[in-house]
Amino acid sequence: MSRQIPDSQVIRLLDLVPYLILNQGVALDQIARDFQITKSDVLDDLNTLWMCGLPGYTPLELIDLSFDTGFVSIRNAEVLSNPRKLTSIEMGAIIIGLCILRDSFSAVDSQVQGLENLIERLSKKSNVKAPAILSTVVTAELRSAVNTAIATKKDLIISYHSFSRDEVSKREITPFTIAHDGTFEYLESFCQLAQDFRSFRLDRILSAALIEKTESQAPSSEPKEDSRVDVQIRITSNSRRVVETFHLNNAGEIHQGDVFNSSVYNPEWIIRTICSLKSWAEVVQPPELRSQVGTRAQRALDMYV
Amino acid sequence: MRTVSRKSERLVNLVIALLATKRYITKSEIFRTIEGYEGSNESMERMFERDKDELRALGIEIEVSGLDPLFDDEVGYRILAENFEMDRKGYSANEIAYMSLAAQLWKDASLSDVSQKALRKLSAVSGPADIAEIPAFAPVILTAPLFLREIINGITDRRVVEFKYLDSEMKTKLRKVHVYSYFSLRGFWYFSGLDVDKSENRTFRCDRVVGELAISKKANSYEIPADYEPDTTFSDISVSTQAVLRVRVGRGSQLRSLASTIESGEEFDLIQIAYSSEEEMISLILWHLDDVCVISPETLKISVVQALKRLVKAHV
Repeated sequence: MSRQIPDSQVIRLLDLVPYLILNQGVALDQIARDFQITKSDVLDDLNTLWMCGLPGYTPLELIDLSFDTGFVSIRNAEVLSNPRKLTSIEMGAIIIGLCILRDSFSAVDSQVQGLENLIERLSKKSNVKAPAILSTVVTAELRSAVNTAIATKKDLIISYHSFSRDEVSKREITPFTIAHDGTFEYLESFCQLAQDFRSFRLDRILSAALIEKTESQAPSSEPKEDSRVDVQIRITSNSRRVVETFHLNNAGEIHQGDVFNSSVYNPEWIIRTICSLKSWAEVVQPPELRSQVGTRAQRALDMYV
Repeated sequence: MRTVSRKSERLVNLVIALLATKRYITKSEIFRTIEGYEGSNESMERMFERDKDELRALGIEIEVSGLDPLFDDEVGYRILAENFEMDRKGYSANEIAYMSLAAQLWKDASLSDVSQKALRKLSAVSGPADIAEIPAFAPVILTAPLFLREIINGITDRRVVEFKYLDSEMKTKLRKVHVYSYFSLRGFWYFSGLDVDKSENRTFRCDRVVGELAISKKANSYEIPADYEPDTTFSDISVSTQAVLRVRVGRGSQLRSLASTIESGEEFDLIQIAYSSEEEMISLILWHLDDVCVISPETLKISVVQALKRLVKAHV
């Protein structure tokens, strides 16, 4: 089973011809960039292509290439002038990408219907299914407010649910861009409250309203002190949940009794996380944190007396 | 100095000849006219068989003429333009631009090499897409599982996939699945379909696949039920239990958003929540520590108290 589809020279040559026809006079360096190969590969490709054509192979039938000047022009290659069909996996990549684009518009946007039609048409034609859902549970209103703020360089007032502190706070932010880690979307912003750059998980923004800029924001805050804590945790039960919570990559080799290190930004997060894992994991180090877990659990237990 | 690959040259010439011909051309015509076929008849035959296989492996469909019993004809070959070329008239310039943009989203992500090839084909349709014409939206970078291509191939060609899957007790088992559907939900990628050994439909989370995912050579091994809908709720809503919880005023916004009723109090509010997975409910309550207290049901209360006792004991 091959993971990487080899970029065979034949395929590249077949793709090179329609590219050259459309981009007459293109520089060799540009071709190297567009095809992600070295310039000497480009020259090898052109030299090989130079010998190709229709049977007969006289100058009348051969592809006519000129590239001595460092710029390429092509003639007499009509047979290969159309780009090749997209393969089903290429179609898959495009369809998923289109679904992401569609979801990044608010539902009322006129682009959405066009994209929806295109996705359906591509999917039908290629027999490649679009993903059943592609959701990050973000409402169209929020999506629209965020997109407008970024596009028009306006600020937002958001109410944000901080998961680790379990608090909802109101913040004024200047959003720059949406980042996507494949699982969640994050709004990369400058936060007036923290006077620092922050990313906000889009699905935890409970509401967002556009405001006019209050003053010029020269984000010139001192970098925050690194408040990381190194924690040692023992796995006390074979639980997939522990592995996934701490993003342990070697899932297959982790066993009950193992101790691993984790570096966390927020001690509150680790206390609550360990508690929510029941007794599948325990804090070993540092001792203050270990005793804090015990104290907090005891306090919760006191609720039941 | 010129470096020329004789083999690439021969294969490109073969594609050009098979694409240009209106009728099927025979092997002897190929050997006679196409540059690069030389040597004994036997070695040319072998060469041609290999070339044909190679082109097919690259996704190029070669048509073979039907053997007509009435004629003692040699087998003929050709490539149909509609199987080879992109239907460029089928898309508007705007659609090509969107497709290019969609491919660009995969930059540095799992399908980036595939997308690069798609982009280079698309850029030969209408030149580089003019992204400026498209309304502004934030760039999206995504990381889907590396084996997403096998999942898509599996569904498209209906090939069986096999992989090791991590269960909740941390044991890995080999699973064999007819993939029907794939999706991304709340940040995770999933695929679903028939678990062959269990004869039941199951959903798998991509990051719980340990190691590689293998795909069968044989295509069309199963049918995807026409009415198949993946279960994306992951819970059996029909068996839900009602819990009554005391939640400290101003806290527990996640619990509050799930609540069916909220009764305001002085220090604590009384909320009612329906849940289907006790396991998840316990975790959620424990997360909230002393901001939440279970009133009912009794079993839930006992489980939470037991978990807290064990936590205290483990952390003295």
